[in-house]
Amino acid sequence: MPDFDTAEPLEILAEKVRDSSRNGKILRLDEVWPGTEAEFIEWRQAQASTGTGDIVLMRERGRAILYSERHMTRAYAEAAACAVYEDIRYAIAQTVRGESRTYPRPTPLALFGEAPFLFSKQILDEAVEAMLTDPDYGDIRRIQASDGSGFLFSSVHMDPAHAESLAEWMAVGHMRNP
Amino acid sequence: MPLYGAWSALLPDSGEVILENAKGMIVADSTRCVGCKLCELACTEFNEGRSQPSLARVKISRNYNFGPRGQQAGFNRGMGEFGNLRLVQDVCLQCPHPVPCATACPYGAIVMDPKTGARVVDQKKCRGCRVCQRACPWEMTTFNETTAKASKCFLCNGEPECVAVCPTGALRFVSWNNLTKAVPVRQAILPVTKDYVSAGCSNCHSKRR
Amino acid sequence: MQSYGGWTGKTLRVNLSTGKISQEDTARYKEYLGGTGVGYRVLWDEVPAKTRSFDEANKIVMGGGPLTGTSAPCGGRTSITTIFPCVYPTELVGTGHMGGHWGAELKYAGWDNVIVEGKSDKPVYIAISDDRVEIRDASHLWRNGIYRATASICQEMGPETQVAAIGQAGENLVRMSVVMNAFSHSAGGVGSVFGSKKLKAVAVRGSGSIKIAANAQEWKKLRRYVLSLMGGNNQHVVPSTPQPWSEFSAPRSRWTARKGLFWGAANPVIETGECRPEELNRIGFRTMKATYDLGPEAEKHTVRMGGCASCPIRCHSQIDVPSVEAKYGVSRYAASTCVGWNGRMYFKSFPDGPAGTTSIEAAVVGKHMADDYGVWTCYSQLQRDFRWAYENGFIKANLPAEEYKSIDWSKCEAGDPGFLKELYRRIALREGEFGIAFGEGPGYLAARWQFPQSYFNSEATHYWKMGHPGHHANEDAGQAGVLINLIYNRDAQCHSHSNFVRNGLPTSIQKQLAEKLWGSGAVDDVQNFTRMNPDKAKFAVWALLRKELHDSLTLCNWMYPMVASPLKSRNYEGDNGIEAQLYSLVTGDRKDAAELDLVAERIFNLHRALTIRDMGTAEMRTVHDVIPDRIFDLPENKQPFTPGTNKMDREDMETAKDLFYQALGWDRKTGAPTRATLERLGLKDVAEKLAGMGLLPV
Repeated sequence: MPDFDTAEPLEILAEKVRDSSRNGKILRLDEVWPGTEAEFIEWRQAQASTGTGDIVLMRERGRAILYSERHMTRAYAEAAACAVYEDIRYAIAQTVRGESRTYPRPTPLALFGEAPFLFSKQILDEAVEAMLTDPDYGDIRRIQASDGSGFLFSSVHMDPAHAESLAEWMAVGHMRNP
Repeated sequence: MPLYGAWSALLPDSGEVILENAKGMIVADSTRCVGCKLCELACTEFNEGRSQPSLARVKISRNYNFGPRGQQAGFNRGMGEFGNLRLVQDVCLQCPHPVPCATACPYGAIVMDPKTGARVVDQKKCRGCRVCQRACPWEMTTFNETTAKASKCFLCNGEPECVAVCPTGALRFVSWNNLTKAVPVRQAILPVTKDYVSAGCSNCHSKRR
Repeated sequence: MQSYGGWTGKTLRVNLSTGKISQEDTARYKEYLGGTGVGYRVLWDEVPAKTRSFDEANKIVMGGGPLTGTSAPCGGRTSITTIFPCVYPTELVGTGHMGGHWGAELKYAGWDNVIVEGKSDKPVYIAISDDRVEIRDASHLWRNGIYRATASICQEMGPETQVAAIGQAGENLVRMSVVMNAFSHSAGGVGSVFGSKKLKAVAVRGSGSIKIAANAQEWKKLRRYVLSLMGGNNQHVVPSTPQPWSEFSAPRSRWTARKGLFWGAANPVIETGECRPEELNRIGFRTMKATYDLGPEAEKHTVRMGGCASCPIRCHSQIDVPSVEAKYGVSRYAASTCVGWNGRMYFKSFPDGPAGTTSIEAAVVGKHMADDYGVWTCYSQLQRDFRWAYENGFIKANLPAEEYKSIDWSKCEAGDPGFLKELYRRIALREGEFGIAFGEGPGYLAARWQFPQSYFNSEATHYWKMGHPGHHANEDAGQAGVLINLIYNRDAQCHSHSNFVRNGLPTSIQKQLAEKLWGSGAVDDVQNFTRMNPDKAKFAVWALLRKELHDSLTLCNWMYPMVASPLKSRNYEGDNGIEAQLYSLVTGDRKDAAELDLVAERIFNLHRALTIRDMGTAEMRTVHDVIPDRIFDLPENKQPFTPGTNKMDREDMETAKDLFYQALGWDRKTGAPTRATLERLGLKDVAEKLAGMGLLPV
């Protein structure tokens, strides 16, 4: 912890960002910096403080976000940024497309009840219903495993048959083959 | 500072009375103990180079099945893995004055480590008589059959191995507090104290000075 | 062995026919390590070909290995090797594996292994107190469950005694029976061999020690290194929910700790919380297994986690379900893991849903019944067989009418856990056709009740071959998974491969890791498999050799090998040489990974040789290494190697066998080890013997 009597302002800001990141929260730049983004970058470069290299300024859809990569991965920061500052549909789509592309696997609807999303069931259901007819999200499909649990996947990144069988494997198959 | 006057010059094995409290101690949270017994193994592997729970100076195995009170309560009615699942760790309380094991030792072999305040068995002075094993109400002094010397928790010179190795943080190294009234005793002790030792007690504790 | 650490140097031999108790130098088994290695060697040397499970000539070899009882992480396993009763139609070599604390205690008592031979004509147990070994009368324990036997023996020998015991099932020669220790740790399938020898238990307490060859600093440093690479249970290396510290997550990862998830019956309650990889003092919280196995309702019943000696992972849930006491007369306290909770699976449904309180009650009642009577459920095969037979009318058809009526089927229909008390009692005590048939194991059951082909080809029954189910086969790892399921005479009990493919990392990263180990072709997207290739053969061989290594050292095959890690700084790479490093430092016998894998290969080949000898044929490929048709035929509407199926192709699997046998140095036509391979592995005497019997491929 910096000694607040002698610490540089950047060190103090860095601590604030780290504290948030440790708790799974990102900060918008405008929550901690009164000026513009460009001014912040210039100011930061001019600071003498070393040891704040873990503080990352991330731009997402026109917004500037701060997190500490000592305590948070970029993947989580992106998800958190989506969840907090974007509309729900975009957050869902980004996540689903990401998982369908990366792992690949379909995304359980239950994921969106967890941090950093914490969407209520009602809000989630409404958003998903809307997405299924929204051309911006034409690749997002919903499927159901035999135990009734719902999944979403992106048809751009996953074959529907693959998504269906993986959903079944995740929801039911794993438990039957522990 | 010898406190039993002129007598001490005649009795080279009476040793110093431990008066100071220990600086640190290990405390055990039985809610977090998951029964891996890695603490017992760390204690002896890193100090003696052998895996030996019977010698370990933190005690889990003896309470594992039925809890500290053994089989009195039958199956699934007491503590332990065969009881209510609670595992109780026994740790040395680094007793305040009068330190039972040190007071009982006829050879003054249990002394205080100046760095940590831990009560430790001086292996050079220990004659292997085992009296300390019967003097500790919590049965925390152990015995190394190979060296034929007693042993007890010495806090690993301030970095206890058991604490470092516990996978749930159930053991912690904290500032010392007197817990001797808080922890139930485990055995009936053998009240052995050499008269030259107990005579010294009156130096401080008698109205006649 | 004096110069080595790890081993005690003494092997105990107890002859129950003559009462002779003797001691041998473990040195003769050094190149087989311990556990299954010693088990197979003893069976080869001392048990005649085609000995049957309940013959006096059968032997039991139980113990760990040089690492057992040390603080080698997850080193608390015990192997019990014998002629395995459930193998159909011929009993063959097999091993039951148990965790708990028995194997470690045996080492502290000064023994590496125990060899039990002969037969007692009266119930006995073996009492080992350091070097004092006695065969004691167990007539007061016979016809009692494992719980009472354990408690009784502890009264005789001391409350810290570790007791490996059988229940009534083992006594009554029920093939589907276990040996248990430490309340929840069972060795599957071997209980009735104990029973056939009238051996109720082997109990041990030890005050001795195991030498660690390396100096304390070296040993501490290695341990920390191993722990730094450790994931959650099954070496899953990502958390099950998105967490700030992790780039990835996977819903079915066993790294389930998170904020707001508690050991809800701990007193006071404890949050599992976020457990970061560098927090070595929180490894024990990573795998909150109760909710993983039993659903969210189990959170409030969770007292803590528990498990085997020397393991920081703690994969056995310890739960408190007060309602079962008044309702079913069993203890409210229960512990188990995975399929140990599958008392639930006997029921089609519960009145309060699939994951409500009743399902948890059923899990608890099932645990107590199985673990006290000592019945083996064989990776839930018993449950699947029961459901299949019940639903397809085979129980009604095969039970005499009186007996069928005497069972309260309404309890089964209603999802009443009390049904389990009836079911397990009948099986353990061999009551009636029901009790006898279900205790025989799937192979004998199917023959006895003349199950049609649909049983053997059913995904619902999961039957594989020779009286055992599939266990992490093509559904996990395509062809490699199938190959792994061919080798053993019981279900494979191999997790080397399934740990890796389920570790939660994206396939692309798994392929990067695989590239360095077996070739990136070793793994596919699950449910989107590709054709066979040499990398997959290497993967299967590695998985099997490491499993034998773990069952001989011992180390837990649900945690090792640790070829993946949770550390992004290492690109999620683990260390394929960890077992060798642990072995080298504990024993002082410095071997690298390749050298230790050679020892594993020796052990693995000896198992194959035993199987060949006792089947009386070298035609392993066609007669033993059998793949059930369902792997190729189901689901009907899918094609192999298309997205969305784990269906395999017959020709492709023949290629797989070719590549697999080739990688092992086994004859392609028969799947039998060649002379060259056996000699390379120091098994020249085995080659000679097989040649003499005409069982060596030319």
